[in-house]
Amino acid sequence: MRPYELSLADAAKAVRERRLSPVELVDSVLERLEEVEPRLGAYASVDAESARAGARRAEREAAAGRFRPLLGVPVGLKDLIDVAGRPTGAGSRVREGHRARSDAEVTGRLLAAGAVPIGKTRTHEFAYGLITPQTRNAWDRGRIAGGSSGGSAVAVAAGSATFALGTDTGGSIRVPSALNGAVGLKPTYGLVSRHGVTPLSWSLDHVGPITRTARDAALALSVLAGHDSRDPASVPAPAADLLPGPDPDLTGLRVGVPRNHYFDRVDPEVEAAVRRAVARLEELGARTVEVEIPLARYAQAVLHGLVAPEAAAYHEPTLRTAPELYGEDVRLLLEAGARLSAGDHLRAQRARTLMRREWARLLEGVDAIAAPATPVTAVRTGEEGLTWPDGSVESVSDAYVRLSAPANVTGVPALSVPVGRDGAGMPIGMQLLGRPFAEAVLLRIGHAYELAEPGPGIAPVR
Amino acid sequence: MPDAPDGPVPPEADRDARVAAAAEHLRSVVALLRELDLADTPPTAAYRAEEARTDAAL
Repeated sequence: MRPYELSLADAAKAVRERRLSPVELVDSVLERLEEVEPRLGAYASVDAESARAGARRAEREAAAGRFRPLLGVPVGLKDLIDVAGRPTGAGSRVREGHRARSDAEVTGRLLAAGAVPIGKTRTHEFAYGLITPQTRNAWDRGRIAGGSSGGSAVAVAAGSATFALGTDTGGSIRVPSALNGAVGLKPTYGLVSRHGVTPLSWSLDHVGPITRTARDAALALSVLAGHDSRDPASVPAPAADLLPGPDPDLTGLRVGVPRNHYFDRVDPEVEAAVRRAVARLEELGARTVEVEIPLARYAQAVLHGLVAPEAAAYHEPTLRTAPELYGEDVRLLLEAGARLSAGDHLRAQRARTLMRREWARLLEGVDAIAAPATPVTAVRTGEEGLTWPDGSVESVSDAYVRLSAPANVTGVPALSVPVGRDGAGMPIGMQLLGRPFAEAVLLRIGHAYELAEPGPGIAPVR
Repeated sequence: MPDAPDGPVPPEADRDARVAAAAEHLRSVVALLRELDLADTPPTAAYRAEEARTDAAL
């Protein structure tokens, strides 16, 4: 196995045990990046020189016997996350000439843990879309990467990053992770600081890891989570041991299987794969319970009622002075969002209060909920709409947001794990949702599942 | 998210119509929430009178 193929946990362990030098690890990932990047376009910028310098520093530390949890591990950062002295391009011409003055809180936490940033991964412009058109799917270059954290998910799936960070406002971590066979974790709202991360919607934005295993997500989250008073949503969460044990036991765990919403208008292959995965969880000891998702039909309305005016407010100055710098799709969304009334925005906030209350009640009865992460696998590039057997037509973006929205609106943690591939070879994701701050439960389930049914591994990238 | 195809920027008059249509679509999506009886339900926006201290020990 070549170093770029190692999971985060295995790479960090190999460095700690002095079986692998950080220089070898970073060089291997950079070589893989050079090989696949021309075909994928996962990175907005790569800083190989600084990554190699970081690897050499990590090597000196390792030689001196000083170890940090992510020492020498290469990470890709979504191009919305500030790194001091570097541009945060946000996938937009609006940001030409930008230079971040300081590190985002999450960047600082990764550096303090010894991780080595190797570049900025591509995002749908300002994270306002589910496609990431600049990037191609790691498993089929004729299909979309998904978004908005498309670059991060593709880099992780292709082996051009050992792990990466993304952001999730309406599915932007889970959707590209599912579409590329990666693991994506949207943590509980407020668990990971957004300070230094370009906002899309203050009330819905989350930062989280994209990895190749649930165990890796646990390791990354242990480093990322923590209170930061510079993010008004940040909460001092109770310290939790996130790392799943070596032989996770699901005995007695109650897993809710939705009877509404999450399996409605879902591709039959996706549904079959997720139901098979749920059956696997039962074999591993979990007890499944059928659950009714409350207020499901309002989730997307709440999401749009919050995102549209908040995004429009953030972009208002540049939208006034330089609207031509935005891509047409994002400009239209922003200009339309500016026309939504304050009453609509407040109604969405009040409906959100109701949803939180009802979901808290739902989650009293189960430890987690298992559902598809997306209704369909990655669509072909340029495909804009889906027609369902009931005759309804849905835009591709709406379809991808539909199953993601509830976790953004309620703020509950949601983990997407790969559960096989469809007939065309495209990865399928299962979403595990849990109580606020119960990431450890989701990660334990994800890890138990991946021990029984390992993920797809590195995409061959042909 | 509501979709809008990529492509060359259309002339201004056409743009206005497209923005109006997108705004109308957005309003119609959000209007679904009028079905809910929100009664005394407060909004989720959080405000604390005291700004969080950056040196808070937590």
